[in-house]
Amino acid sequence: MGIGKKWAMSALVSCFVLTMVGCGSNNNAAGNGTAGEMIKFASDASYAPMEYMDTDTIKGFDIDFIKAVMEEAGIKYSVTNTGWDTMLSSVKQGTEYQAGLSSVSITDERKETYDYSIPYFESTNMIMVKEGSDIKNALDLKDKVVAVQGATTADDLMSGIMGVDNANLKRFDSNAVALMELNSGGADAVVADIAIVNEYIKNNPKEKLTGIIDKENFGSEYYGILYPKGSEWKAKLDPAIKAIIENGKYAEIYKTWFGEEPDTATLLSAE
Amino acid sequence: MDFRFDIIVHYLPVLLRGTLFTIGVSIVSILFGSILGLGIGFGKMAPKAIFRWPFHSYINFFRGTPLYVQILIVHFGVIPAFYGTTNVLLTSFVALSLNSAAYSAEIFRAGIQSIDPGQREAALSLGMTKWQAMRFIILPQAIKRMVPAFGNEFIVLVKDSSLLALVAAPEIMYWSNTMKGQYLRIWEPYLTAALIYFILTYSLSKLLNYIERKV
Amino acid sequence: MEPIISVRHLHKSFGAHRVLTDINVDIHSREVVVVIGPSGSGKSTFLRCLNLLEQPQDGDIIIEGTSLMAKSTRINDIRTEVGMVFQQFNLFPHKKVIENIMLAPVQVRKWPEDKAREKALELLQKVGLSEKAEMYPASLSGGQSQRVAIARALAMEPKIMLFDEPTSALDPEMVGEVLAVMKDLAREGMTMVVVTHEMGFAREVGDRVLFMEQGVVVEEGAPEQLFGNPSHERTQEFLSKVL
Repeated sequence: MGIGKKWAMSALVSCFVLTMVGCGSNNNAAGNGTAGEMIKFASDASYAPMEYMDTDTIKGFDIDFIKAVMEEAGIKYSVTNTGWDTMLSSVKQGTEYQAGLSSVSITDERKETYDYSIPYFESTNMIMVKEGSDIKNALDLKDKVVAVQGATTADDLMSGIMGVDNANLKRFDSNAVALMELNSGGADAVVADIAIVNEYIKNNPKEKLTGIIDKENFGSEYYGILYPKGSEWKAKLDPAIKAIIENGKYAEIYKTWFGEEPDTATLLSAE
Repeated sequence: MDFRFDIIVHYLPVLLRGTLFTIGVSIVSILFGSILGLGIGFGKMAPKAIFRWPFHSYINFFRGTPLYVQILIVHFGVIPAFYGTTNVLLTSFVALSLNSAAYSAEIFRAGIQSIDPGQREAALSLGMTKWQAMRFIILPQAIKRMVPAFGNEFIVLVKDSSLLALVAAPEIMYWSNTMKGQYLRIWEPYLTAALIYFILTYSLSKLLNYIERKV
Repeated sequence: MEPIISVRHLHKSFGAHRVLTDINVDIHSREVVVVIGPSGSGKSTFLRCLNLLEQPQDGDIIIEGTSLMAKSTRINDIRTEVGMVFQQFNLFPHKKVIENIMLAPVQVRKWPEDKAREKALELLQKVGLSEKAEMYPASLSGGQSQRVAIARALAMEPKIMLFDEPTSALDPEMVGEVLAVMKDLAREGMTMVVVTHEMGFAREVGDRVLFMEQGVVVEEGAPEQLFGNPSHERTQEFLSKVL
């Protein structure tokens, strides 16, 4: 047993310790609130640019948005990257985490189990294909092989068009894998949130991809904060959300992330 | 805790199809895996180290890396290289067979090496070839000892096949995930999946007990 | 007359450990040669070299005019003519007694099943175990097991039989039944090489006795000479301990 082995051992231990510390400090940014109460948000930060991890820091539109909301409300908060499943089960219980912030689309089926905030983001799904594809709109996808991230509204929409048990509709764990399937020739198209698709096309110009918007078949959908049924937080935070949308703070954040003006009128009239 | 049986009923038909997929993939993979594993197991017992090396590496690689990553490599690397595009059915068979072969190889090797060397010597002293000694004397005894380990491997394989959901293989976990997405509920899909896997593996272990008593 | 086994300058080592040094022995047809010596003297290794269960490093073994060390020799063919009986019997536990005996004649000699069965039953009768034909080895006593093992080796109709301490693993009361079978065999004229600690057997049945120690043949001779009047000091010392 020489120096080398000892060195490797201590390096290993250091890595382990650093990892543990990383977990502990868990990405929470405290607000400026003075009241004793505090709300903890759970998130699945694997959905750039909405929420994602930049090494050990959680970032994204949703994160900046909630910061503005909590400043407006004057309540302490934290956001933790728990992953999707943990977020769902713990928000349903409402004890450890009182809310979910993760670009969760508002649907009637989900409302059977959860409460939502007022809509805070308007999104639409978008089709991404390779350049030169004969696909022009969502209905063209009916007989094609389509890759989506499972458990998203893209999944819902395509299940509606293609049938929930259609083998040509491939649901992946994340958009990253779905996009890889398109690149490897295993799918003719990917359907995902507009923000995701644009971001991907922008970052991968070599892959010769184009996005298709189909307003007719892919209607607008809205994201909401996820609460357990009967949560008192809804009443506390909804006015703050409304306030920052109305006072221009929301548009400011939106522009830094997407480079364009949001349609706040539609957002406020939705629900 | 509220539990919604209605959404399980709604998903039952596709879950059953997923179950058939899981069973099919597991059976094909354990078969191909054992055949391949037998070859690799013999390779690892080669008298010269240089011939053992590739088999040794194969086993180390497949036992030492996560199946999760192996599935991705097979799906996006290996299959497109041979087949042109990705193909989830091929990925399922190939990834699980290759992985299972590594474990089967070790089961074979351990089983064969557990037989008293005197058995082989007795066979050889009667004029049998090495192959005859293996076929008539060593393998029949070794296989009997391997059955429990193989049963374990089969059960692990059935459960591991759930990782194929990663590349959208329409198996049990995949449909559970779909159910989860539609309703954003996790206990109904996951507990249902767990129950199905339990029924599969429990029946399997009963079947293996029966086989163990027979051989 | 040409010896049936001729061992010339045989050397064997396991790694750096020398086990056999320059062994030279001729064994003639119908001869019973008994090999004695202390544990670790190399006598079992010597025996196992005669059918190449151990590969010697140097020297030659010629059986019926064929060199075992020649590249062209097919060792399986030699082994069909040289039967072997092991200390631990090494019966095949997954096969019935009769199948243990029939297997090699059918698979190696390519005899038809009927012929092999007939031969097996005849041999079982010879070793006095006809009623055990359909049993599995696990139900046999040690003495019975060793008698089946002898029958199994004889089924190949070998010209030579090697016995590697055939009675060492047996309870004392079972030694006699195995030695009785071996005596019969010797009387019928089988060429036998026997490694044993049974000095009584060596004296009574052996035509010639080899005394080995530390990998060399120290002394050889007729039993009455070797036991009665050993010429070598080490032989005397060994015999004084075991007799």
